[in-house]
Amino acid sequence: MLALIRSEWLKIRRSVIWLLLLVSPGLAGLIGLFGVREEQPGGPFPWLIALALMTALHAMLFLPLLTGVYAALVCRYEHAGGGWKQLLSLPVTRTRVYIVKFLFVMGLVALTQLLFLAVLLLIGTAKGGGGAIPWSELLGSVGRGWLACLPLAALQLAVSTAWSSFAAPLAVNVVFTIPNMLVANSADYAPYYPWVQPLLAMMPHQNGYDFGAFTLPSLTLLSVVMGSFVVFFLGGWAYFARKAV
Amino acid sequence: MSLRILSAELLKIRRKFIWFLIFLGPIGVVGLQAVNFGLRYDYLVGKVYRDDLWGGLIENVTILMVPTLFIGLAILASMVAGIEHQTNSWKQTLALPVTRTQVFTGKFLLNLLLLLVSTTLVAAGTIVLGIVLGFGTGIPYGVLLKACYYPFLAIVPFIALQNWLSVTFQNQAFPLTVGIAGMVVSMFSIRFGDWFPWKWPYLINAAKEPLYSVACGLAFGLVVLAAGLAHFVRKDVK
Amino acid sequence: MNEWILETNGLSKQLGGRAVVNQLNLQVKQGDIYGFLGPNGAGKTTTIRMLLGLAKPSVGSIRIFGKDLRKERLSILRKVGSLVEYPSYYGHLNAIDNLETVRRLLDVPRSRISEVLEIVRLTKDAKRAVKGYSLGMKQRLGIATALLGQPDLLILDEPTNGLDPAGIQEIRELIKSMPREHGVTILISSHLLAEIEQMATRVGIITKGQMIFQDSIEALRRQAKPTIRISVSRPEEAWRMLLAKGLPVDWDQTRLTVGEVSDRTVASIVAALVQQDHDVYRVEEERVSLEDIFLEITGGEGSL
Repeated sequence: MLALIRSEWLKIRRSVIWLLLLVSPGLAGLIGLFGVREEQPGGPFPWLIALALMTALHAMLFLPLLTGVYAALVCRYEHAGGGWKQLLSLPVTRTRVYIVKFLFVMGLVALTQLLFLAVLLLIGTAKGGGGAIPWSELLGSVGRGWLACLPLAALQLAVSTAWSSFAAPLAVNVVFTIPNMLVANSADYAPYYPWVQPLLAMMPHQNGYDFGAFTLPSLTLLSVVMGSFVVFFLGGWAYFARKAV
Repeated sequence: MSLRILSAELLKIRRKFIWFLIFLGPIGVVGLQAVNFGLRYDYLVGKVYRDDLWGGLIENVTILMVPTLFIGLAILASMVAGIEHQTNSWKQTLALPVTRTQVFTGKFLLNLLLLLVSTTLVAAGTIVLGIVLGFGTGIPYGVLLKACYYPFLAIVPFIALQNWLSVTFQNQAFPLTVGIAGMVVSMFSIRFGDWFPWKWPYLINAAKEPLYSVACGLAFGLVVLAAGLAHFVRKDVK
Repeated sequence: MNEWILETNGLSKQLGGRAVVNQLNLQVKQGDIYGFLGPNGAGKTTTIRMLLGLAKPSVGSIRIFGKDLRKERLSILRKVGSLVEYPSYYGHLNAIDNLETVRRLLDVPRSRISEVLEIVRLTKDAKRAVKGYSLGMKQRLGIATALLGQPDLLILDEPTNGLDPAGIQEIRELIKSMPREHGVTILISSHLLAEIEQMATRVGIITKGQMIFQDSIEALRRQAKPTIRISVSRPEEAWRMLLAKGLPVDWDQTRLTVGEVSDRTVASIVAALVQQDHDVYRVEEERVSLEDIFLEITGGEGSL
């Protein structure tokens, strides 16, 4: 397993992925930088308002879609150069290959989340909110957002291993993510829609965002996330284990 | 000549996933509004849009259509250019007795045409949905057509941009991420000034004249297309 | 454990209702250079994918090193090096990094990388990104990758694809030396008999998914029985005379030929002709090329 991780690391180390990690945190940072000032001139830095604002940009569409891009990327170099057949004729099990690919997708999502947090901290500190950082809220938001990406990463990895085209898996992702714009407002349906979970998970539970599905108990969300994750992951794994290369 | 190139391009995408997407996008947008209005019928039809049912429906469709167009055109451009990337056939395509300008504009026109089909389907789908929802036959055609085709025209710079990026980069992760970022940014574009190109397809400007946004889009679209062309014509092909 | 290092039993693969590989019994001995021949589309690559566990057989079993591939895939693959169809590579990495991605999975010493690069003569270009390589260089990188794990069995699918004549010669010499120097057994596929002929010790010929010939290269050569052609001044008269003496000669109105070619027979025929005052212009040996046999066995399709 460790050998596979080290091998995978080598492939990913020199690719464009590092640039992509910066996109969403960067844009969220711009919104945080200019957006928050409008709402609160002077006074202590409104951490949670900033978090909510940046989350609206980062987690509603970006994070779910980027998860798909990461999944497509860790499969791309295998599809492009005939890598699958070489990799799978080495002494490695398909299950391990699949798990390691998945770990890398989630690792990249984790890095994105950490960058998001770093940008937020940077903006907050620069604007004079250094003393009273609400650590538990911020870390909780970023961590829950990461967890909520588990099922999406599992589904996207499955379609990305199946199709060699980069755009096709992304199209699947978009088809499921676009409805977020409507679903997020619905208290009845949002809790059961996996693609909107990153948004629900990251949104702080106060400051005017306690409408729609944003006030749900985390247990419901957790079971939806974990349930869909298990289904998607097992489905993708079963397909990959049988796939002819 | 351009027509022949376009027909060759159309042939290449036959029996491809691309056509599926061209239909899926509009079906998705109208379908989601069908669900939206269906589930909240009493609230939306009975209260919010009681005075202007068709106007309300068209507004809701547009709100969803523009972001979908943003990401859809990126995926489309990537797939259209991907035909050559995946089979390594740029060298073959460009070795044919056609100019590079024709090849590049051919791809651009194909994207334009396919998105036009999608946009038309959105308009048609909206009419069907309105009638099914019982909004009557007093369809405000003028409003509907403007709501669908004006954003399409104002989004032309992005069609040109994504076509350029997708053709240039072998690794489609880059153009697609630009497309995703574009969609997300566009949704926050209200906060920016009227100079901001991502704002144009929403047809919002200080003068409250949608045609200004359309004119900006078309003019800037030509600029981006020309820039892409200038680059593509000089580029080495692997 | 029997003598076969690689053995398939009734191996079949159905794709879309069509039997791409049909009841194949492949047998490769320790130290063989096994030439796996067949026209394009005969099922060679599909067979090789099954041998590597990339595709699953519809029916039949595969044993490598005496172990069942289904049960002990990992321990088998550790000792198998392969190159399937076209070389696999990560274009954005250089040759060393490409090999390193595989080395980390095989757990062989790092020094192997420079060794295999040396073997395929890529040392000079090792630090360039592979996407800039020529087809031949990619092919050699593929062979280097196959050699990396010091395999006991090397499976090479059309390894000389895209190589220039010098490169083909080089690879051929390399392949011929492997069994001798490292005790490696090699299975090599090709649609060109001429290529295989110069290195293989055993040959299997497959067409339309079925094995139609499998034996030593000598056995294949024996099928190419040579004949002796004699041209003389009065052939028909010579034929009658030789038949009368009980010598095995054929006359087909244009050519006088001898089916049996032992030196003694030929000598007797020539002696008889000279004694009877026939002018003997030529005595030539005529060989049917392996290429002709291959074409005949595979039913004339394919081979270029």
